[in-house]
Amino acid sequence: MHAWEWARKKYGEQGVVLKAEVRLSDCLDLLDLNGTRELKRVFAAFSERLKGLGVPLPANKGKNHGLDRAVINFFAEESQPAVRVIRAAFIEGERLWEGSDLWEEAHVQLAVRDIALLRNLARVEDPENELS
Amino acid sequence: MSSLKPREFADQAIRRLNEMSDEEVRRKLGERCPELLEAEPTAMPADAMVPERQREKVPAKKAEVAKATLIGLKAALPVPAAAAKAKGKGGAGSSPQSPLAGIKMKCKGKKPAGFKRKAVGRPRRRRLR
Repeated sequence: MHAWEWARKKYGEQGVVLKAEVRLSDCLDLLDLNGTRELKRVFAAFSERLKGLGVPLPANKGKNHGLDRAVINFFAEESQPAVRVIRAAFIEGERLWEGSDLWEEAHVQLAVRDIALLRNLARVEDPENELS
Repeated sequence: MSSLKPREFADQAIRRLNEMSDEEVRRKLGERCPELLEAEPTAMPADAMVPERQREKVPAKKAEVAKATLIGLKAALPVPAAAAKAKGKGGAGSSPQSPLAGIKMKCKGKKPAGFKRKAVGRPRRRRLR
């Protein structure tokens, strides 16, 4: 449902949604403490280096996660063999109700950097067409 | 499932970062986020802390004091006691002991610890009767 909403918003009538099995091989898993702690360490080194060069850090603005993306890209590209997939959770949207810690658009996102990790790719039918 | 060992990979990324020359870091940043290299550098020269208008009008000696004050170098300030006494007319920095004596504090920026700014330029609210 969330994927369809996003696809329609971004590509209008031309949007489609695909499903696939993703092999989590060489995965930087940010749902795991080992992953988050190491990424934090990489961020410290990354920001220090940029500071030394007098280059400002990028910033996260709304749904544009520029800072996080820059650090993760650096981590993923500079490690050997390179990270092939990244998994993280995002909190977006409104609280489900006042005082709740549940969020309407919370989701887990996988960024697949190597398409060889995808299997059984298939198209997902539009839920609006199924209903009618 | 995942075969990645985060610690080893992070070590490797950090080592790689340390090995990279400044030029290489800049080039990679330029490829990934070119907008960063176009932005103003974060470290500002001390001169930039003093507004341009003030830089031109304030005599050299005062400008120096103002600059030093703004960047928080209170200890390094000369205290022009006699001059301050003559010129101090109340308000912020009027005390002859104050390192801000005789200087109009109009510029925004970090003030030395203990500095109290007096509200100026706005009349007191009249009490309704």
